[in-house]
Amino acid sequence: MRGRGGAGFTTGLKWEACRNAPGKTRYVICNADEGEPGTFKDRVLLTRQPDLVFEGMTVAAYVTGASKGYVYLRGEYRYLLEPLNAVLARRRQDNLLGKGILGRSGFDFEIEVHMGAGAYICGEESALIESLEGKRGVPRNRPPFPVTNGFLNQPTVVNNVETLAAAALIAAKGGDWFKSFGTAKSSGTKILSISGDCERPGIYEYPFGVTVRQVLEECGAKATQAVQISGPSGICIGPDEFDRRIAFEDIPTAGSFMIFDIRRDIFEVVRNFINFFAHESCGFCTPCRVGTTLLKNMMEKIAAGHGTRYDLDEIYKLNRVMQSAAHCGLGHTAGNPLVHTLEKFRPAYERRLKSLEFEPAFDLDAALSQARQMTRRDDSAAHFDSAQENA
Amino acid sequence: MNNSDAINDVLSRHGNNGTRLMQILRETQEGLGWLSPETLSIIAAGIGWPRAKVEGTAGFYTFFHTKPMGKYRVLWSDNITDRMLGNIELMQAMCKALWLEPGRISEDGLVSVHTTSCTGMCDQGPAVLVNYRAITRMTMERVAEMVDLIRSKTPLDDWPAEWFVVENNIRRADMLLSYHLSPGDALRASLARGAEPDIETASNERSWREALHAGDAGRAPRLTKSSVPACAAAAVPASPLA
Repeated sequence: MRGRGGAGFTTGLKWEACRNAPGKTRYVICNADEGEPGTFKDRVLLTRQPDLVFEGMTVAAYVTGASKGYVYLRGEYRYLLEPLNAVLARRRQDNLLGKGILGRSGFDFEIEVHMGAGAYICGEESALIESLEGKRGVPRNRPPFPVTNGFLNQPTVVNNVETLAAAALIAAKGGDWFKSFGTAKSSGTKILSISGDCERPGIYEYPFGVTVRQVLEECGAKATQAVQISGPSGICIGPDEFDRRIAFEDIPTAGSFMIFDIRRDIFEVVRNFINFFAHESCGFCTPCRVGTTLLKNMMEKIAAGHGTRYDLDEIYKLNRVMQSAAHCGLGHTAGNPLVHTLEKFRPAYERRLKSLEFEPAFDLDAALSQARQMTRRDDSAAHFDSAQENA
Repeated sequence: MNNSDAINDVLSRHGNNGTRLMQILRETQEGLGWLSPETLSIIAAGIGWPRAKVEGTAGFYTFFHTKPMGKYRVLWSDNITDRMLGNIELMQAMCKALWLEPGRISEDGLVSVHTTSCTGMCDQGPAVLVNYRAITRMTMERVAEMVDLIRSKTPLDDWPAEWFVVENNIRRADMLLSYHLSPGDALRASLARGAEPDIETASNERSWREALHAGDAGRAPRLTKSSVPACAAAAVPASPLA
């Protein structure tokens, strides 16, 4: 099985590496910091199947030899804390947690829910661990990876909520049963969080291999212009690609599936995503901290009608710098929505551009308004007419 | 009970353990409303960390505030899906009714209204968090009612319960969402079988393994039934990578 959090690492390998790494205590962490815009599947899994998730963690503990588990729950889901603690208490009572689980002496495992506090970056596993240790959520340098040097520098497995739930099912029903779902390289199912322009937004669980078109039909999406898959850091596709499949072989996804019909302005969609990244950049590395803000300013300039071809070229340049120099995935992917839509939905940008080679971000004529006020002039010679100037 | 007693209560509940700082800050803030400079000093002394480090953590996370943000903190989820459902108009109406600007606390210190990143309620937006509790399906009517409740300083617990309902909206369930396991089933099965992770080859396997210990020891051995200890926690074998 491969991880459901987006990166798609092979779960068994992660567990095996953690078990084999030298350490005093091992930890299992459930990543429920579901911050990718448009994703809400973990909220539903933790509401509907909390036992399955906790059981997956306990199985992981059995395999890796871990004695302590944490669920890193995003701050936005604060209302789930008490219900989850109640489930944990029941499991403790049933001897499914605690000392000597199910009568197996030495099999000790305890789970605790840790609340996040509104930082998207803490979904990145090493930032999550920093946060769990009480520090700022800044991603670590990797390697070493958490499987050898994780929480409190001990071997640590970090898995997504959905991965752990699936792991519990595999433990109960066996790998062959699990492999009978999905495609050759993507076993099992994927839960999609569907939102945007459709009649029935919500949670859809499909075996891997389903086409985007089928998903759109079943949720009642009409006149679809674009679908943003796996959130702002994922990919944006148009109607000519709707026959592509949700699977690791084709379109991998963490589960976000946002639909935009033909009434929507793709430029405004991307602008929202870019603002999101600029807000959520942790500020640790310069390429991302400055790069996301420059991208945001560029979008504002284009929106205000001051954009030129020069700015589009700058976007590509910035994206290259961020991809090669940023410290973590946030900076690597922040330019994705721009680059994807510039390729596929270029008219959304071009109709906003001025045809000039370069245009300043501010309005020259407006800048003169104070001077006009002071000299009490408002005749045509006191105005900066760019058309005239260029003639 | 004064503030410092309340903070010390939280601290002792967490064993004055600095690695639990996030929970200490959250619980303190839930009790006191915000994290004042004095609060941070008491916490820093309590866990034995430099004050700057505690303030660094408190300042990093958007849900912790080191300035008072009002008795009511309203945060509008600002994902594109909330925008498509009209969150900006609703927020502007709320700000107008409360006489404040987004991001600013009201003159009387009662309320602040702002945007926040996607709160994960995209299928039932526009959504808000009020004092970090999720409210879904906002409308102009709800905005008007909410403004009245805030002005009359009604405690959140007395707000209409249906506002806090979060729907699952499961439209298509397959194995994960529909399969019913009794608690403990999976665990009993793996104890019976001996734990062996199912390994499927991924394209990223090679690079990931090489990064593990600079690749100098080669591949980690696969788990076999014989190598899995009967009781895993008690008998973790020395690592072949060490």
